[in-house]
Amino acid sequence: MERRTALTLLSAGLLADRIDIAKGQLLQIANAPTEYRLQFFSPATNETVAALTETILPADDHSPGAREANVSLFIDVMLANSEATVQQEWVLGIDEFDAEAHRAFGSTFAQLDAARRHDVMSAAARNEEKPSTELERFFGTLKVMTLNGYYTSAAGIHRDLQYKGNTALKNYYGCTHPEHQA
Amino acid sequence: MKTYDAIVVGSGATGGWAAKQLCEGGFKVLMLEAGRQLDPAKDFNEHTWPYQMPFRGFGKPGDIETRQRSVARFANEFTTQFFVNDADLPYTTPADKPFNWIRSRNVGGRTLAWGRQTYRLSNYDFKAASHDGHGQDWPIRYEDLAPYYNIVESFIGVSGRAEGYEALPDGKFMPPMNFSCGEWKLKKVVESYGDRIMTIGRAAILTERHEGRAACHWCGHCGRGCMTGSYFSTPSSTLPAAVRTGRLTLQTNAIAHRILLGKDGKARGVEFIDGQTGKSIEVRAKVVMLNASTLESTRLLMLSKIGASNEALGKYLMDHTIDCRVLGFLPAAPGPIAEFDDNRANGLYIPRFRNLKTKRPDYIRGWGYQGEAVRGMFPTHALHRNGFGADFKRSVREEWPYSARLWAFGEMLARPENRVSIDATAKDRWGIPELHIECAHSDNEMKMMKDAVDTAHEMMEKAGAEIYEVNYTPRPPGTCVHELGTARMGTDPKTSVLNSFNQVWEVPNLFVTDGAAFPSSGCVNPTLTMMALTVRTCEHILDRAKRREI
Repeated sequence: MERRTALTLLSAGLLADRIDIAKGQLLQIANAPTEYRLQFFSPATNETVAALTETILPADDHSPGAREANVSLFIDVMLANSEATVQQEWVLGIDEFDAEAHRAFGSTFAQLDAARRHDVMSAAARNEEKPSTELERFFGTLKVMTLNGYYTSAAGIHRDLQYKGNTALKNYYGCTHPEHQA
Repeated sequence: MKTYDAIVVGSGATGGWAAKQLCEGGFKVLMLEAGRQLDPAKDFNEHTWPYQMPFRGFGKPGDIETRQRSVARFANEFTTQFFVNDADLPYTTPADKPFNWIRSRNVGGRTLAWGRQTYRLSNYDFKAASHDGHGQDWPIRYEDLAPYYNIVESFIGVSGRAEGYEALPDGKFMPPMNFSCGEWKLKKVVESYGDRIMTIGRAAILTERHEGRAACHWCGHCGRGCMTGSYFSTPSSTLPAAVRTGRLTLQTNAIAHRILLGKDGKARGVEFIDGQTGKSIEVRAKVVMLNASTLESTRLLMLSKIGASNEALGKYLMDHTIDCRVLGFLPAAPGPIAEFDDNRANGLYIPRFRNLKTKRPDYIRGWGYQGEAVRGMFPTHALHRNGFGADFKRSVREEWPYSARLWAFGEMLARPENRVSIDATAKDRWGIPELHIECAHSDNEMKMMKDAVDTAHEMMEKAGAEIYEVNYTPRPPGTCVHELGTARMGTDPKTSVLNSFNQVWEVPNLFVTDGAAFPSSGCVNPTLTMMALTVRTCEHILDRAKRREI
């Protein structure tokens, strides 16, 4: 358990009484995403979030991106169970991205091609260490949730990271370089 | 009514050993466990993937905060089933002195979820008061306990490396696990100081087949339960041995709430509530062993009005300081990872090096570091790396540094104001009076942790780590789940609750061999010492039984 990721989710402020509902929903995303019904996002907003997360972690010749990993649905479950202030942050944040897309290219984020989405995301990410605008601040929130969703998905763990543990293995070998141990 | 030779209250690390030793010595033993028998098929999440968990393994956020407040630091979504619900089993604390009491009620107790780190105390610990003047020495020396450390290690299986380091005595070890490349780098820096060493964690994980148990299969998820029983837990090791004798009776859902005393002042049995029927039941025995866990054992003594006039009962509560830490990244060779490190469910250990041959002016005692420099399933570095897009995604998998972490586990001084008592009004769901816990860190612990974190920071920097988190403030006491003291051993019935054989001074056939008995905490993980004390006490009981003194 990584502390920062756990804290990030804790800070999402899921409400206790909705947790049992969320359980089933997240399992459904993992096992049968096509049957999942959106809880918080409208289909249009979900498409925007899928585009935003895919821009952060795009498909490449090595592995699927955030869209195929259904990261937007993971975020949907979390937000459906979060406090109103957290939900509001996302509603406003997604609007900020659309506003930036309009300002730069006269279109919503979802309607842009991949290169222009990348440009809009670059504008949001320009002060990652010290964000000063709502757009820049929301980039941090969006990025952490995207990483948490992607790297805990089957696509992220098995196909992108090619993680080999969590099953019976022959040994732990550790360092195999005699020069490191001298 | 049937009279057993012994009743053992609790089925955790010490209860399991008590049952094994007494059964093998010919006793007919009744073990009382407050919780249920776990079903590995349902209760173990050993090889479960994050995407198979409702919350991807991050935990049930609101749930843990509201229902399992005290386990929030320790349990995660994969293991909450091993811990009690605070709402059922509350306890009280002063508002300004939070205490996290992290409990299991199931066969095996906390041995299912424990950290498996297995270290011996040294005479720096047993004779700590003689060394620096604080508190009381143990009534036994290292030499008294060493043979029993041998017995426990030989049976449970401990992997580790002999180092010949005085403050951390060597034991009976199976082949040690290796370090990662990053850890070898850190080790060189640590040992360049000349006054300290870094060794691989001494872990109760089998690196070879042992006592009919399979060697570790390296899935990396001890603590979620192990289908092959390859890390020590009572159900994988001592309990089967006790069962094999044919002399053990295990009673689950048996919530002990009173020790029954005879007119002769001896314990004649235990009264428990059947968790399924709610009925109160009495059971009889010639000997009673309290292995209910530190605070539950003391609560039982208090509920039974035993030691009521003893000034030490309930006092000198301790827990090791936890979460004072330095976190960073150590560079690793670029390229995709061939071998991940988190299939080794063990870390590094840097034993105490302060206040041994020299003395610090600002604090007494010391700490050990546990830590690691590993690359595991979740790419932590991604959360600390700027950027996004295809290059970012590639760099996460191909420029993957070691997550290097040092945590200082510090000794907490035994002080009378850190104490427990029976709450005058509050009762748990069984109607049993709750415990009131008052415990806080002292100036000594805070000054020690300042030094510990500064020193870790310096070593991590020298090793070339990019540091991203430094924390000086320990979590509230209890969070380390090393609660110790409140019924300490000693040589004087006025200032201790137990004699040097863990026998309650005023009740000759009543013994306490869990963490409650500790007069001081040392800074190493305490379970091995509790188990060794239990074996020593059981040998004493069997000897006295042979001589018909019990």
